[in-house]
Amino acid sequence: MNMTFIKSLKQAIGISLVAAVLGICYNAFSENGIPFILESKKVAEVTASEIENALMVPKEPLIINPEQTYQLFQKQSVSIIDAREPNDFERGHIPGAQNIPWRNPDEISIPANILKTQLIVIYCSDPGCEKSIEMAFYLYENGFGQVRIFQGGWEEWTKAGYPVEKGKTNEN
Amino acid sequence: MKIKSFFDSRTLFILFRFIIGFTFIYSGLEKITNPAEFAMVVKNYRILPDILVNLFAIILPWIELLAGLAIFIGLYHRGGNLIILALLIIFTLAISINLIRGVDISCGCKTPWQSTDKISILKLLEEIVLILLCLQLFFHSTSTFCLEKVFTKSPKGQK
Repeated sequence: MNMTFIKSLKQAIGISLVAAVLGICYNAFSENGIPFILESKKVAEVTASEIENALMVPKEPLIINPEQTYQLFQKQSVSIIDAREPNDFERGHIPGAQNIPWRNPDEISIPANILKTQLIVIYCSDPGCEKSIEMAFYLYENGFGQVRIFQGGWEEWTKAGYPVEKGKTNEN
Repeated sequence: MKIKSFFDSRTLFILFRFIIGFTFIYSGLEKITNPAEFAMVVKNYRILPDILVNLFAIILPWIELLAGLAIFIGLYHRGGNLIILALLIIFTLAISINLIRGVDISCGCKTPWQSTDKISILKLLEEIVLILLCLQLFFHSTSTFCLEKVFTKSPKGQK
């Protein structure tokens, strides 16, 4: 039994090594290849005057904190997007937020009521979640010039005791 | 006694080899075609450090493919099975951790028979069933209907 296990282990190591070489080579020559190390997007934090940009000059997405998000939440003109999955959205979300789950750029459709000139706040589950960042840059690259990322997300919103809403999804 | 006959059954050995082999060949190919999407799935699990996410997403699908192929054709199938068993245990733990965390993420473990790719209790049970199948392959002592029999000479009298 021991000998069989050692033999199996050697085979497993062999298969894994061959797979690693094949994977790396395939990735190097494939059109769909990805970098070896994941590149996280670096996003600047917003300054007080930039929470809303009165001139509406298109600008790269900026990070906002819970208080700044609440400040924007109180304004009717701001669109809030919840990038989490519909199940999470139904359990609770920022009142008035629209659920547009971020999975990948091919699957996304932005509702017509979200305008390119409008101030948009995107959030997802918690500070470690990057869906909001990825979606914010996707929107920015597609002409939405006023995107803010509430990186603390749902976790920090509820921790701060701000209003919440529960209910069905309005996913498009 | 019944457990012994479960592990000794040659019919089950062949059947389970085809099920496990086909599942992981399919799963590997699915991920190889879209490494960026799989890397995002791995990242969402939030178990691996960011620095390892892409490398994992590049190599794991090939490990699944080769191990699945080894089990399917019966060449180096014990090594392949050991890999799949280890992967299934890791997947089961990863799904359990994220179910406990209460996050709704993609499983990254598409199988030919499933319609959803979300982590769920059902998905967890599916992984446990696959582990049981792998255990049968692991403890089964013969190499019935395996290609490796063609390459190795058996002592006289041994099947």
